[in-house]
Amino acid sequence: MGTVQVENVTKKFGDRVAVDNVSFEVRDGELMCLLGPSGAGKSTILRIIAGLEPPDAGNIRIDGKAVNDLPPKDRDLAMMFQSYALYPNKTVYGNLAFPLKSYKVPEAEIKKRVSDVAETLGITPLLRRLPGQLSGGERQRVAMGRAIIRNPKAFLLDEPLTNLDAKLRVNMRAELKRLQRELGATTIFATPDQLEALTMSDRIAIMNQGRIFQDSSPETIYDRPKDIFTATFVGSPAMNILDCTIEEKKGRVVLSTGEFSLDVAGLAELIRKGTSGPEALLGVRPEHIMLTRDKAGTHSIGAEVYVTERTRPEQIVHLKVGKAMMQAIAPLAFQCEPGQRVWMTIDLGKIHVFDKLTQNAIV
Amino acid sequence: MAYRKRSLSRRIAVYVCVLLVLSFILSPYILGIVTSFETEVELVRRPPFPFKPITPVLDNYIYILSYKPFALAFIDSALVAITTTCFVMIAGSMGAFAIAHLRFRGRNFLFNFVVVVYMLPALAMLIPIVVLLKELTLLDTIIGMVFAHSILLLPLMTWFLVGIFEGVPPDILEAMQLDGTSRLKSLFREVIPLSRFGFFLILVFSFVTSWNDLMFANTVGIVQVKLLQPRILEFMSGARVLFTQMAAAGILSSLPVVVLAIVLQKQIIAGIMKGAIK
Repeated sequence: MGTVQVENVTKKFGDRVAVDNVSFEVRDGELMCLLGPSGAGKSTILRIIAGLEPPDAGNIRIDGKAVNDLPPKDRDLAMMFQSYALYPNKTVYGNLAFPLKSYKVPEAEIKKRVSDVAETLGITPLLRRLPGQLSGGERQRVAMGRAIIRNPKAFLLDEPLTNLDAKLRVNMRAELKRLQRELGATTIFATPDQLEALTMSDRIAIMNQGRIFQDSSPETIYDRPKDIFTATFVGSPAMNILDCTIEEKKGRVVLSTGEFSLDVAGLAELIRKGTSGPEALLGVRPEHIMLTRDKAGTHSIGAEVYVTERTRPEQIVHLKVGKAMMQAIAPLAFQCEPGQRVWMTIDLGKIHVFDKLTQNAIV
Repeated sequence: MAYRKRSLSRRIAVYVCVLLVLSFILSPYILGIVTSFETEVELVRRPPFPFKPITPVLDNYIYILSYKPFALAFIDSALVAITTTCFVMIAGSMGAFAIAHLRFRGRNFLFNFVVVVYMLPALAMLIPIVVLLKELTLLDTIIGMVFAHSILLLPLMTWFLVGIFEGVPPDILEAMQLDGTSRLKSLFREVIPLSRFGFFLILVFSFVTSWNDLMFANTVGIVQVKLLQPRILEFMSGARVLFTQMAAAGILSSLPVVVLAIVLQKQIIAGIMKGAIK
């Protein structure tokens, strides 16, 4: 296995910048996730790394060696496509054996490796079937097998789970993760699904409009998003974002949303230093709001229940706070009806404040 | 029960319609077959339409089969048609593959150019081709004939093949590229097998067009290379038309096409159906 470095890569399609000066490095054995909405440039980056697309600027290094001028087959990478791209008129065996045949591996060795890989992925009984006779999950396994059989320096997975139904996707998520660990495979994984990214990766790069917004561990991405895009894209239900102004009252810093004010004494220094003006955005994750039926203390804020989604094992409570809408997560046992008055207490240690102008995080 | 009755009558109606259309389409051919089994005297005495009982004779076929120039023309025509088809299919596939699946500067221009060339009437290309072949001293040679037919067929077949090859998902080709397959190999190993139905349809079409060609055969071939269709035409002169022998020659010349159509029937129909859905 090896390392992959992407250095200042830019790619344009006509006037549209698909990838805008992107750099990152994937360490040996690491599972790195490119997370972003469709059109963010994730697939383009994978294709550039694979050599299917030449970059307009920048370098790709594999194990430290620049591979810009190498054709795809000499880069020693395996890519798995969203459509799986199995060879329709080859059997599963033929599909698995194909990459080895191209590299002139002896027949006996091919046989052994195919049966090993088939064993690992539990597809031995399918070896003589054609891709058209397989279910979605089985196809996905075969595609995975075709990628791992060559023992490449790194895997590039382009939305490998997107085409599976919901239940299978959750199963395959775990299995893919286990397989990646077992093989110690350096992996770059593109997905629009934040849950996949959070559960599977060692590191996440948040992408939008061709740029990387934040490149950190899943924990950091979730707990300390650097900007408003990352904050709202990761997490389900999404983070509550409210317009607010930063006010100084008798030496204390208060965030005032118009509906309620938060006295953020502990964060005063950070806010004073980081802000470019009084306009700011307050971010609160739904799980950091505690709901009570009665006023719990001086910090409690009155709200009206708008609707509840009982997702189980919890419920998402949509709240009307003055004119603003917010979401909070509450235990199922917390009984509330639409229209009912409840009180929310925001965990002040876990709030996020973003500069309205730069969209960057202050706290 | 009533339902079943109606479905039976409907089925009969369908068959009658099919039979009518079929007999309309096939009547010249059937007439040709009938004529080819008649003696000239019999034919002149009473024309074969409306139908009349005949005592089939094999004289015409025996004559044609022992007529050496016909056999030679048959071989030459086969040679030209097979070579042309092979060349057109190989070159056309490569060109169509490039246009359908490779991205390069001028791709659209190239494709439009191919279409425009196809739209030129064959007649407009006849004189330039003859002049060109004369300069190349290929006039009246088998190679020259293959060349002429290829010019006629290549743009059209490339155009068809582009449409067919575009049905192959590009992901598969990219996967092959990563698996270390050259483009040429992926064309022959995956693209053509995957589009085999359309491919066979076009192959048959190429062969039949070349085989049935009269215009180019009559101008590019003069003395040395006399293909089948001009040879058949020789049964007709200002003074006299040898109808029965000509009919036998025509029926014989149609045999390869009929055999090809029957052998590749499944593929051809699948190819047509595929085109219909698309």
